[in-house]
Amino acid sequence: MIRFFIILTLLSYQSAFAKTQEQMKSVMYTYLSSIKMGDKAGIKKVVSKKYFQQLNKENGLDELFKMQKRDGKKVKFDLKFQKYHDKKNHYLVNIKDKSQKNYDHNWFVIQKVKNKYIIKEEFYMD
Amino acid sequence: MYIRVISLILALSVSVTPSNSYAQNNESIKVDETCVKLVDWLYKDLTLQNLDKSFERMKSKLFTGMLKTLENVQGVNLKNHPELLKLWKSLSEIDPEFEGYLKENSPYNRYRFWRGKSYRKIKTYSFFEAIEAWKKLQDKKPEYFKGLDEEYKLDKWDLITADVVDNVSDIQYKDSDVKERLVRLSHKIKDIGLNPQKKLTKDLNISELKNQIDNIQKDIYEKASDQYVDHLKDYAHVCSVEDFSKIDPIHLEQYLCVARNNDVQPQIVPLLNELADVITIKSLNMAEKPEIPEIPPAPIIEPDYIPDEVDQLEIIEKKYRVNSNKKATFCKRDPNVIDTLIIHHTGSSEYFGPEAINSAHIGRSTKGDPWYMIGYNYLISEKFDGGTEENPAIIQGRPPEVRGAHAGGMTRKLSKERKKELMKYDIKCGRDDKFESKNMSSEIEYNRISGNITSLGIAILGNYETKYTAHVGGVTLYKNISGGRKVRYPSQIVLEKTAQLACKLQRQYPNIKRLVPHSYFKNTNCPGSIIAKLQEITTLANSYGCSFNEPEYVK
Repeated sequence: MIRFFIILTLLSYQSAFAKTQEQMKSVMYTYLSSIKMGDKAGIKKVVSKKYFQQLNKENGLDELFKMQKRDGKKVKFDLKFQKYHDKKNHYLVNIKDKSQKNYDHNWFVIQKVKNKYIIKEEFYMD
Repeated sequence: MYIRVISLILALSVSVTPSNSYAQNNESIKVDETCVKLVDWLYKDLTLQNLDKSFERMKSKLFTGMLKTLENVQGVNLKNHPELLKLWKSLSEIDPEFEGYLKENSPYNRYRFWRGKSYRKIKTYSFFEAIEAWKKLQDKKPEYFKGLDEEYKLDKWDLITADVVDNVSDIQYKDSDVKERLVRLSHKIKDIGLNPQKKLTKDLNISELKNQIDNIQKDIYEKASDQYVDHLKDYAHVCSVEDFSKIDPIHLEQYLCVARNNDVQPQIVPLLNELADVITIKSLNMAEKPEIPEIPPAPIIEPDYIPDEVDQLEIIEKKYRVNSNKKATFCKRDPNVIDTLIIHHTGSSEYFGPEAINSAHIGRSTKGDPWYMIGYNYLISEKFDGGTEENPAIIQGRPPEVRGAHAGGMTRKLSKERKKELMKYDIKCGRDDKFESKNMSSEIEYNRISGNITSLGIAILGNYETKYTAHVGGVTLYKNISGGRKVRYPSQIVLEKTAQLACKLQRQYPNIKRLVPHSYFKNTNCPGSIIAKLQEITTLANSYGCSFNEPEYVK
């Protein structure tokens, strides 16, 4: 009986983890796709106001959009995340190109607000 | 002050052994030489300065006593009182006015004393001897002085005054000019209270004389006390009251006994000043006032070590939340193994403080083992824990005795000596009360050891790296957006604080000899633009008296 509960707990945890990871991936996908497509409104949907201002500082987004290759390919990437221990409903998320071996030192801080995930800021963690 | 002087006189009262010359045996007294000289000078100067007043007091007493004796011996055969006759004769010889007075008024005139054989047979005294004999007579024949209060009888004060005056007289009598002066002096004294042409009872009033004595004493006390205190003040750093009493209490008393008061006897002052000059030459040893020794500067008690800004650098202690995961362990080391300081920047936005970093680090893991707490040992912040741009705060991270989690790489190949030295130490890993001890050799792999074991990590809060682009999934995106476009350098005060911290740590752990950037141990951009300032930090740290080698950038 106890084993059953343990297994059930692990399965539910794994399921929750997988669900969260999917949601994180979805957010990051929207973010990257919006950049690729030059869609400011799309970016705004998944980032906080403050982060958007930082991104768009000195017309940074317009410049970024110019750098994109509109090749119509689907955005693929690897993602890892961890709970942000200090703040409730906060996660640290890192992404990398599938061809890259290691993740970068920059982590995104994503906050869950009413079943919606928003990129709040970036965090350097070496 | 008055009370003080009186009490001093009482305290210093000792047996009187006056002499014509001032002499003392200082050999047995261990007092500063200056102090002895000062007493010599005080004796001379204050005696001369106040001679007339003291002399006046003595004479007033003498007259008072004489009046009393004359009263008390009325109708008595003076042949039976040779001491009295002798004294009277002595006084007459010393001061002609006494003789005149006695001839006119005293009962012994009837016996033709002054012209008779008995008169010539009487051995006369010097002034001092006469006063001394008179004083003895007061004790021996109290009936002569019946009705005279003690305070108006002759005392040792008068003895000393007589000693001085007598000393003058001895000289002056051989010199007609000076003798003349003495005669003039007698006349002056007569003017004050003595009129030989009149009857004694009418012309000399005992109560008036007593008042005169009281006033003189008061003046002397007041004046002498001021002088006394002033002199003591000047020499207080070499002479104490105790020193004076050791040297010559009787002379101090004499100094207090003699005084000059120009208001009372202005007409006598010039004359006595002349006499005083003679006394100076003859009997008072030409004592000069000693120079006031320089007050030695207060000894500067230098502490063995004067704390400087490095010692005074405040490191804010902080209690961090630790990872509750039992897998999260840490290792304790002997801080003496530390030889390197690694400079980091946190690379984070301004919103990331020590707690946020601690929280993020707790979420990290190395080879599956979660971190116990914040990885850096020290943080320098312009925003958190009281830190400002003007005065950045130094915040404690991991304690230095705990192996850090920040270097991310191994050291260079260790030299044989270094390896041997490290192997002297153990390292204890675990958490709570469960620690496993192992020798440092177990941490050495291929002659290298983790940089975290032999270093301390100093992280400057903030992002000193510029914004850059990265390609993820065919998308070009900004990374490190909090870094901005332009290169940002740490402020001068941040560099100074970093240098002070480095120096402080070297003082605590003298094996620390070098400063390196994080990029020395790992392929990273950390510490951003600070890497360009490492040389300056090193120079600053050395300017505080520390000794750091040139910074190393490449492993």
